[in-house]
Amino acid sequence: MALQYTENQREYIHLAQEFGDRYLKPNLIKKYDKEGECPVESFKPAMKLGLHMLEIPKEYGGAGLSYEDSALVFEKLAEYDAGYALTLITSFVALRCVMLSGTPEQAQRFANVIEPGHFGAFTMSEADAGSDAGSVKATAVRKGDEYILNGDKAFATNGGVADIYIGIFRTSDNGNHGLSAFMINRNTPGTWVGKHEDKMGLRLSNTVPLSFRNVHVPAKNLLGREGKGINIALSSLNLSRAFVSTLTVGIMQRALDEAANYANSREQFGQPIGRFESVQNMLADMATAVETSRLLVNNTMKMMDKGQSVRKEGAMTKLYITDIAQKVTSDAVQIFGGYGFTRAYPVEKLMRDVKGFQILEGTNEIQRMTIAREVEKDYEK
Amino acid sequence: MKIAVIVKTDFSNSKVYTTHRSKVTYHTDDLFLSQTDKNAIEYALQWIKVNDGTIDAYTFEDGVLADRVLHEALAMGVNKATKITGVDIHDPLQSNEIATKFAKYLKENCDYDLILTGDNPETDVISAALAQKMNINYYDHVSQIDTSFKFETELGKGKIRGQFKLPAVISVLDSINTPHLPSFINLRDALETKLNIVKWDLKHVKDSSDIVADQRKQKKVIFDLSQDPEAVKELVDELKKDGILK
Repeated sequence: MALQYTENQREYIHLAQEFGDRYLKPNLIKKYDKEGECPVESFKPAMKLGLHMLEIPKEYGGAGLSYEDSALVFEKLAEYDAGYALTLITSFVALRCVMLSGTPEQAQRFANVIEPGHFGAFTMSEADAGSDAGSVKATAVRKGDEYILNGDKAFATNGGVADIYIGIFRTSDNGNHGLSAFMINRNTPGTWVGKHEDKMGLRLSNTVPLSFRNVHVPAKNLLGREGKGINIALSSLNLSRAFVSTLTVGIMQRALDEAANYANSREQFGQPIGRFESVQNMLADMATAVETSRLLVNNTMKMMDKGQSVRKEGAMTKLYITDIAQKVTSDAVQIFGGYGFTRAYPVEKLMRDVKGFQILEGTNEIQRMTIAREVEKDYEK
Repeated sequence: MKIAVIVKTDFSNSKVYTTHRSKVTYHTDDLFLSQTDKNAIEYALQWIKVNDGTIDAYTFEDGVLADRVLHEALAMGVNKATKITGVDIHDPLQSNEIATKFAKYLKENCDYDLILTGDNPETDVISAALAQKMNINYYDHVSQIDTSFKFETELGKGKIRGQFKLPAVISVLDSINTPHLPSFINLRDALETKLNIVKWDLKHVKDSSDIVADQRKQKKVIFDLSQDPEAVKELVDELKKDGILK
């Protein structure tokens, strides 16, 4: 193991493992994956343990773990199911976003909704505004002490299970700088949840379109100032990119575990296939990818704990890890041969799940753009 | 009601050590509070919920493992945690001395109504000796127990059912309950809790022992139903080949 854990981290990881062993059994995960719905009831034990508020400070009802420690817990959970872990992460990233950009009173209100055992969500994407946030069309118009929201959002992670959202809406025509962020209670009249997307992977994670029709929200629900929505969205994305990367490491670790165990037990030509050099090479590359990826995430999390900007490093982390994970999971299927191509074994699911992370939280093409801009700045004279 | 729980790692779990030739190497990174000790703590928690009281945890584990099991016990809900250093719980030749000193320590410092521990073939001798030296009742291999003193003990071909009498030392199996998982908040708080330390020195015990690996070859699992969909067919083929099935 390249990453040296502290004693506390070992304890946190062990508890996550105990949770996974007890509540995320393979047959159950297989069932949820087949059904493709978010099993809300199955999150109750996780919330009892505080997994939905893991890195949220104690004063808001969270466990107060560092980003670094939280990441290790979620990496372990992702070994069982990344969609399950993503659902929990999405919730606390939304709350953390309010804490970073809103007032303590707003953060407390948001926390009061989530803490007893509910989900939060963040919604910005629209049918024609994915990577291009400047194309967001949904509007927020101020009338007295309220804003009136109108528009449609797409691919809202947790949208169908959350009780509170952070939504990005247009308050002026000033491109990216005309966007503002609002806290929206799901039960506000005019808020509609669409049909759950039938996704290729991460099928336990809820993804829905949301519609807002004359939704009245109090002006006190505006986060920060008008026009600051893009900054709030970017700070949320910086967080979620880092956590998506840690989930990807968990998937890769599982792929390696499955493939290595299979290579040692599957015999062809009178010996375990793990004794063939071609398989050994694949396993060596997989193990190297897991270790380097884990170190990269760990470094990003440490930077976040220090309050440093991870605009470039977060993008690099997500880009590198989610790209290399495609090969790692594909090689796991390859090692399993024909069996790996069937749903009887878990490796094909890992391959499906990990594809989502090249797209979520900013596609990897956007990550390259971000990195390139930052590199350009680094070398400006 | 005062309850003590003696806790230890799950060192008999085959997943936490490896053997090479005659040497046994424990991988301390993988050693945590044993399952049966968690059951014992859970029972103690149920007891004080009904009857009121406090729970203290003790361990004879060494170094980081002592801290680890005690932190886990604290996270589960025990009130006080104490590590006793200078002994080797894994050395059976120290068992009698440990029990003697611990009985003396408990008599002088605390007055427990109930001493619980998780069943473990390698350390149960300490619990038995402790009960004998404290002149209190001892119940081992307890497979069922409730808060109204009723218990069952597993036997090879049956069970003993009865009513236990306090004060007592009780060694429990994992069938008595399903221990709860602590919350991350409780674990974090436990990790920040100061542990009590009691220093002993058993240097005067001249004899000591080493663990030597079992040289017998481990059985290999050939048919794994959870992993191989063809396992049943392969097993049937093997049994037919060996003439067991026709």
